[in-house]
Amino acid sequence: MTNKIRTIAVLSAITLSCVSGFAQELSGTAGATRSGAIVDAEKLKARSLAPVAPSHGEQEFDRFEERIINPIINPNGLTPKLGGLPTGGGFSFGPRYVRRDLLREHLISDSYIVGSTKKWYRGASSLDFVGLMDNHLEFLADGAYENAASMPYYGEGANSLKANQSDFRREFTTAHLGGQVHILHQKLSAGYAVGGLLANVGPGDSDWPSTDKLFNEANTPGLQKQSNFITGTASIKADLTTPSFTNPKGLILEANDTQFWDQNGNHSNFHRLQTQATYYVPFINGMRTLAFRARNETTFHDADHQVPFYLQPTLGGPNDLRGYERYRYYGNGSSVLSGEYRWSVAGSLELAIFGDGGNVYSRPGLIGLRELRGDGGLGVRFKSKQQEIVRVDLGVSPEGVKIWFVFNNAFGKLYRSY
Amino acid sequence: MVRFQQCVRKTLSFVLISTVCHATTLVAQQFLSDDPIKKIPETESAQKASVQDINAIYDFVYHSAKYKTPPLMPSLGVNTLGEVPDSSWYTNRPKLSVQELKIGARVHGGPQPPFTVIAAKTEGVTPGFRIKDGRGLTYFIKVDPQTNPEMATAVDVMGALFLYAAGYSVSENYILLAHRKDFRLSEKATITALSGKKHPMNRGQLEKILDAVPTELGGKIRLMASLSVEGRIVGPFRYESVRSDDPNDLIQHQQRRDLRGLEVLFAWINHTDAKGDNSLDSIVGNGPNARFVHHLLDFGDSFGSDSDIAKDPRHGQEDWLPTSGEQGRRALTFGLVPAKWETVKYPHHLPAAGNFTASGFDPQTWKPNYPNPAFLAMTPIDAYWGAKRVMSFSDQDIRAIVEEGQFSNPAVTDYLVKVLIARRNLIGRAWFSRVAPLEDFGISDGELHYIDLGGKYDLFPTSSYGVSWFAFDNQSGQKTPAQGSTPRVPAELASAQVGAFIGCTLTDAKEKRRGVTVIFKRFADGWQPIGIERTSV
Repeated sequence: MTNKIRTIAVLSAITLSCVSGFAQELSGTAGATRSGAIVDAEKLKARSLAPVAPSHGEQEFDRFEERIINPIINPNGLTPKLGGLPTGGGFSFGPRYVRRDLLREHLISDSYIVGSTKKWYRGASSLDFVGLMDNHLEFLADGAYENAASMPYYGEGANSLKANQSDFRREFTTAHLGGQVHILHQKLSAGYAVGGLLANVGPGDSDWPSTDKLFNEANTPGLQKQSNFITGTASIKADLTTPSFTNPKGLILEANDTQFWDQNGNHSNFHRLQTQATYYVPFINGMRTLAFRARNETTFHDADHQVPFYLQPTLGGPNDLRGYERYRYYGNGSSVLSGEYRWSVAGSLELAIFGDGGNVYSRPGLIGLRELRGDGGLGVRFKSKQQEIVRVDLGVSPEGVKIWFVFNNAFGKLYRSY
Repeated sequence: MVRFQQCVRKTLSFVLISTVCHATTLVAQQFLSDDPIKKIPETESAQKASVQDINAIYDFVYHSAKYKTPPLMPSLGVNTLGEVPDSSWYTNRPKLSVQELKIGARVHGGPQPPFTVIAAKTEGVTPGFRIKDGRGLTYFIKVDPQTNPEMATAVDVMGALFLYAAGYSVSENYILLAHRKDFRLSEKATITALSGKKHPMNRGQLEKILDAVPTELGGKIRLMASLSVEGRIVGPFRYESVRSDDPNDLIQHQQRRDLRGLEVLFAWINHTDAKGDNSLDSIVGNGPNARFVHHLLDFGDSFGSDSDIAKDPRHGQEDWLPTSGEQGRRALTFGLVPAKWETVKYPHHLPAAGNFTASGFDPQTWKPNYPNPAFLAMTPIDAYWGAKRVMSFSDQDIRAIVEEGQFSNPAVTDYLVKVLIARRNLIGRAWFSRVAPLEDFGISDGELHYIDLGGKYDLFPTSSYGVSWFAFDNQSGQKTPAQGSTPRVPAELASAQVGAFIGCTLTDAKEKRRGVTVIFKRFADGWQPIGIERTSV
């Protein structure tokens, strides 16, 4: 202890003695020269060296990062999983077992079960063969069971009434086997997947009236009898963007076409075409961006077939019409056009003013501006470079104000729920 | 318990400082016989030092939260002239010739073929790998982004050369032009996957990394090779606190003038990634001769480069996290009133130059990507010290170093030289105006002489200074005014004996806060300046 005090005393004094200008000699503890005083201090410190260590706070954070952050960001082994349910499922959580180190990291095995506060569940397992043929080829096999306990339903069409809100339970059991090729420096991807879908619909779990109490098979096809399907999905994506700062610059084109073959004779053979174009126009050295996204989903079926309501395109929610409830509109087709003006406030923070317009329709020929639904709002995005980590979007529409707190890009990639 | 001990230590330290300060004031002399010291005697062995890691996320969050400028405190680690003595941190290099500037720290030369790849990383901003050359030396290899060929490789070389010439220890960075066939894979080569695990590396993985190299000159590819620093690696240094395992590390890093003033040099070359992780300490020597050497590393985020893309215009202007009123105003005004720096024109026709300009550059408000504790603590006098280093680079010096970037388009070299000259002069004007920029004090023929750097570098008209003389008692520190207000030494002082001290204070006639006090000591061959104290605006 004496040594430590002595060390501190001399170090403190040396520190003072080195101050620019008119320095003080250390009487008694140091030599008669500046160098001598410094040497004395070094000798004293040498007697009480301690292993270098981070601060208490940093040590705690090291542990937190190792136990919590790393398993979430870069999971390998048994880890917790947050999220994983379709939008509207609420906060979900569950165990996950993922392996990224198989076959020299060419095979990713991922299995999880999550449940939410809204009693939605999902269990899924996948094998993803990645980085094959120098990252030009990828194979995926997956299977999942999903129980969406309270899917909202307001009836079909753009004129459905909000007052007619009901809910239903949607159970999807799916399996897929597919492959993708990535060419032109990963700018162009195309793939095909075959799969199966077992669908079941039942009464919802919320306080809203059950869908089958308000609607019937005539106006809500598939309500009474659900089908199992064989599916085939072709997909293509062209990413023509170049790097910029807060957002990419340029165009992204995507299309998915899924054929549904009804296996139960319920006259539900159809195919569903999803197309999306996203265009980013940075300006003012990339510190501002105009972003546009046009998305269309259209189903095609023969005259004596129909599209079950639980597989119809929908509008409403954080990813399209942000001023409306989730799944507010159902129809055989949907179109939505969104525009955003984004201004970067800091590297980690971007704000946006947005507007969305869209509608649903019963057949392809009715695509148009009739019965357009629109909204506008303000978004706050917390970012890591171009990636939106968290966004809070406030949408305003004639049906009210909605606030969304979501962990994805506002104009994310096409999503398939089946 | 550890926290309690830290509190006790801090309290004790404060009490002892106060005590020592009071005690010594009464009895001590002001200047010691070896003042001003030219070199810090680092005498103790650092053999026991172990490896230090910095948690990158914690460092970012912790320092981002401490973004406010602390109260100004004078620097430490300086001699009585206010200069930084030679140490493991900094070396006062004599004026380097053009050839020496081009060589810098590079004494081993670039890698010699054949190049044996021993490891690669897949994580990080840019892909890279590690090789052993024909002589068995280890080099770290980095590449350019596709969008900006030559940019990232050049800035790593130029940044190291500028910082070396300014007095810091840096790695040896080289532009490497090589054929693909010159690279062979070690049987033991490994590649670090995204999961952090290492796997055996194959030729395809190497080819994939090389495929990312955008420039091929006559069948050759262009890379940047950084020689592994000499000695035992013990991790990065921090810009605050001291290492508890280095007996020669006595001064809190955030109070070191050589680290505070480094901000000015970094601002000049726009090296915004000024974090501890971009430094590296090594132990050179063994046993009783083991000593730290503190290196600056990784200049990929300097000039107009952000390593994998041209520089984000925000870098150098604002913190990554929102901390300023300006950012608040931008948020509230929908970004409709852009800041000046947002609208500057970049040389998009010269992609190798990246986003580097002198427009919108304000040396006094320049910021690294996130707050650096030493930079936050920088005083105008620290900045003046740094600005002197920057201003010491002549136009020819700058061109000599930029040419080492080996740009294929001479227009890029010309552009960067022009921008660096403009930024250098902005730095000189900014920081020399905060103090009296007077140097090279001497007394000859009974008259005070000095150089006004503002005039020397043609930055602004030479200021006029009022002079007041005094006799100085080195035992008590007492100043006794003498008659005389001209540069001529008053007769009553001029006749002083050998060992006597006199002093003068020069005060800017227009701005009284800009002043400098110089203490001279009489030696057998005349007066020598022994102490300098400056005041600043």
